[in-house]
Amino acid sequence: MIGGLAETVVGAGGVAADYGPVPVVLFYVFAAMTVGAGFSVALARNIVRAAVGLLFALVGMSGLYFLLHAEYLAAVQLVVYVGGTLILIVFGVMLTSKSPTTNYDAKRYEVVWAVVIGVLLVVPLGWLMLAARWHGVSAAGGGGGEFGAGGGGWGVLD
Amino acid sequence: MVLTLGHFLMVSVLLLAAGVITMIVKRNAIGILMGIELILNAGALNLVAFNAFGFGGKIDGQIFALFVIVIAAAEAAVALAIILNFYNNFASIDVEKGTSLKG
Repeated sequence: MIGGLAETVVGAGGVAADYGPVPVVLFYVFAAMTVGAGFSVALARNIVRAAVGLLFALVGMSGLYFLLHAEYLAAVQLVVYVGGTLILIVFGVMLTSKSPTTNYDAKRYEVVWAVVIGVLLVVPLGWLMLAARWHGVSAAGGGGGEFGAGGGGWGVLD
Repeated sequence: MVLTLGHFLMVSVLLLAAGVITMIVKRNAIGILMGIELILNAGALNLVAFNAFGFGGKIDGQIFALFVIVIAAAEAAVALAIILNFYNNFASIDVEKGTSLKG
């Protein structure tokens, strides 16, 4: 059914439905895979290890697309990203890796900037995403407002 | 147990942060390219999640995410061509060595 809402996550009419623990467990598996591999890309010193981390991040994203009932997109993600873009990047790594004089390790002030900007991104954006009551998002538990942080009638696009 | 939009948006936020941190920390040009890929994926996840939770029966967000994937593939090809030229000229892909245009 083209355009059908996710049976595993969202029920008919966009209302969040309870389909038991399986989709939730799968979500946490894929989310941990995606986010963990994403940060391993940031932390890896060896560029090949970063490429492997990117591989797992992209595969985890594909799983999240499946949970959101976007099967075609998940397949395209696997074929185009994992099968095409990532191979291209690995080829680039192989063609440019012979430079023994260069040291690609991050400098100290770069790490400090990365931590500062990371915190400045995650804290306000995360708070916004959890607190906002999105206009048009299914009201019966489908919106981020279910987390309860958005009390007091505060809404971004409401 | 119910999955909400907030679950997917938090994954997107964390992935965006990982991508930005990657772009700041890496001096290897290909590493920066990987950070860009992570950021693009975070944006695409946002589009698909809002589409699944907000707009019954429509797939506009998925089409947008498809465009994101295609543009990311094209961008990786162009960026790698530039990086290989950079490597031919400087025998390294340390982005801090690309200072030829400095006055």
